[in-house]
Amino acid sequence: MGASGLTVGGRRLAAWFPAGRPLGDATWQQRHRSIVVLAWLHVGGLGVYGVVRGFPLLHLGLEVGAIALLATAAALVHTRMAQASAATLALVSCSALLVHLSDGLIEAHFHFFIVVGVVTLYQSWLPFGLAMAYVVAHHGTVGVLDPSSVYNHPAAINSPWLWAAIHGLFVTGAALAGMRSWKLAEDEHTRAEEAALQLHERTIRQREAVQLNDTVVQGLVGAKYAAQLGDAEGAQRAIDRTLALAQQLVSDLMSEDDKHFEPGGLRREAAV
Amino acid sequence: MTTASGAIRTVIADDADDLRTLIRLALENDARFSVVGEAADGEEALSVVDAERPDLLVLDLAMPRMDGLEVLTRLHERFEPPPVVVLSGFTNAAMIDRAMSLGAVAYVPKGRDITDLPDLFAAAVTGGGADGTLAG
Repeated sequence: MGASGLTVGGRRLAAWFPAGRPLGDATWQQRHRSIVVLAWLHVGGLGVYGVVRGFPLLHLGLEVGAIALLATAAALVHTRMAQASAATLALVSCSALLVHLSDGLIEAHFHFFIVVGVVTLYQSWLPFGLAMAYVVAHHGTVGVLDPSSVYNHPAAINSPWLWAAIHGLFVTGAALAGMRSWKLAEDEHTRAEEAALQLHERTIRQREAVQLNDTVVQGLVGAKYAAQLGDAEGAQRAIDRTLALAQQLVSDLMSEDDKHFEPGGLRREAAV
Repeated sequence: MTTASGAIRTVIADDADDLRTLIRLALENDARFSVVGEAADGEEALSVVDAERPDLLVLDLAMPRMDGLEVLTRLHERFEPPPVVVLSGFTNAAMIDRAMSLGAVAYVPKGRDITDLPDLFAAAVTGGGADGTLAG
């Protein structure tokens, strides 16, 4: 396989992944608001869970408080990427805290899968990458330094790297499914945009066709009918009127496209 | 309902005043026709047809307030609508098919000689001679 084959293969692989085209403002705001609300619901829920589990209030306050700070930042910072990053870190920290408060309960790890799915709603590589990096960092550091706070069975506690890899494999699977869904949503959006553009262009063409009919065709028909009925003056009037209307129509159409006023913009494809 | 002389009572619907005048002149120069009404848009066309009960409606397509295709649709909700000959500047096949499917008996392009119109319209009313589609 030469360089061109690799390029083809690389292009095919790249085509499988979403491009990360920005969502429209209204869509993005709606999704971000929902994600921030979800983060705040977790702040409350994790606080209650931590109390029920018997964690000291100061300890719990610091951990839940950090998530609350991130959720607050997600609502207050200015740029989309900063907001999405803060919200993502808040949610994935909820996953980590849930695992910690449950003393590594394996079912608590399922929350990471949910968060990866939620974060793909941003349809953006930065928050998605942050979530994945956080999971890797969490399992690779906390899981190794204090495995009993991340895992609750001896096999994992004794081999934290192996079990970090196993968890990573499943999170990657969830991530790939999320990315595929994101890619299909992007493609659907592109098709809808193209269809809307085609409809818009078709509407414009139809309007221009009716204008040409109403000015040039009707005018020439009137001139022809008048000439055939022996009304030479009427025919001349119709011709003059049609010429004026046609020239106005041309001016109106050209003003919508400034390209025609640059050198080369009036070049014909063939002589008339 | 023809006149006592048997002339074909005709209504002309076209938003171009000068074209309407020229078509009326061409038909009034032919003893087979009697122009009993004119309309400058589709809504007026329906009112005049209801009032005059003509033998023939000559109908333009691109008109304000109600276009010719809408008029064709509304006419066929009426009992015994008159035969309709579409006289239009549009000549694409899709437009012709649409007008015919909505009940026009003939479709005549505005590029035809005005002197041909009376024969074409008479043939459409009697159902003989020119077929229902674009003649010639």
